[in-house]
Amino acid sequence: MKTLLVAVDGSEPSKKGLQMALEVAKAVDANIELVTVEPPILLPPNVYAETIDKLLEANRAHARSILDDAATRVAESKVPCTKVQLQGPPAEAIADLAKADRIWGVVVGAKGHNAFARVLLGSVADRLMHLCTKPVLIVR
Amino acid sequence: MAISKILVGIDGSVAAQGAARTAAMLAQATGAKLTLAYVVVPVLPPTGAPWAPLEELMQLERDEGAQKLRDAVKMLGDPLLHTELWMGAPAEVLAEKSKAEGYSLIVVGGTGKGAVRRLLVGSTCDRLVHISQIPVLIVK
Repeated sequence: MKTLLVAVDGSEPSKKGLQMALEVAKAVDANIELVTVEPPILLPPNVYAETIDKLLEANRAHARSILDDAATRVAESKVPCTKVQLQGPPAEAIADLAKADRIWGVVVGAKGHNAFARVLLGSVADRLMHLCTKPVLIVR
Repeated sequence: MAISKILVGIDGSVAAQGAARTAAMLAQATGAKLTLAYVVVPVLPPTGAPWAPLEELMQLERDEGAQKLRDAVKMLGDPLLHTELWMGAPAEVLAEKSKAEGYSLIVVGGTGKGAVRRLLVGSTCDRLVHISQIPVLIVK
């Protein structure tokens, strides 16, 4: 049984990516592993530790809700699914996870929330396709 | 977003063979129509040699492309496979034709015949991912 790693961030392209991944998974009889990454937060050094904790907790809860939404979508299609929540630079974290033997390839949306409207390819997808040693499907 | 037509770009490289095999597997699993395409890059005359036999050189390039398409068809073992021999800048041609002819997915090899060996992703693939309006699967 193969596993497709699907990166989700709640953006439109990532939803389309999941939709295409589901179609491929059903056709080739694969599992889906959903991954979302909490990006590192950059704050000036004089921010209270408590504030940082609150932000991290909010980020974590947001990531969890993105994963849960995607998992609901996968469950509707009756494809077996697992969830992974990571911290760190997104492209690197996803490429690292994709090295696992069970992963056949990675599906990612062409751009997420941070890309300028005029770019066709976001920085995470761009970096991921260069770092990842497995097949990468980029969906817009 | 049913996967109904898959386009695979080949250039005779090892990565492109992997892309063709993966595309054939996906086409079989999804019931999609598969097309193999080779893009001939127009020959430029060497500097200071405007008398170079351009037409003959182009014909050689076209013959080579046709041969590589035949090799790929033979490798996949399906003599009825649809093939296309196009001309132009490879990434641009693949992006335009795939959009105009209603393909659902483009499959390419991560590294082609380009000269820079340290790259995990070749220049054609990189450019294609940036300009394509339909999903791209990069096979490494």
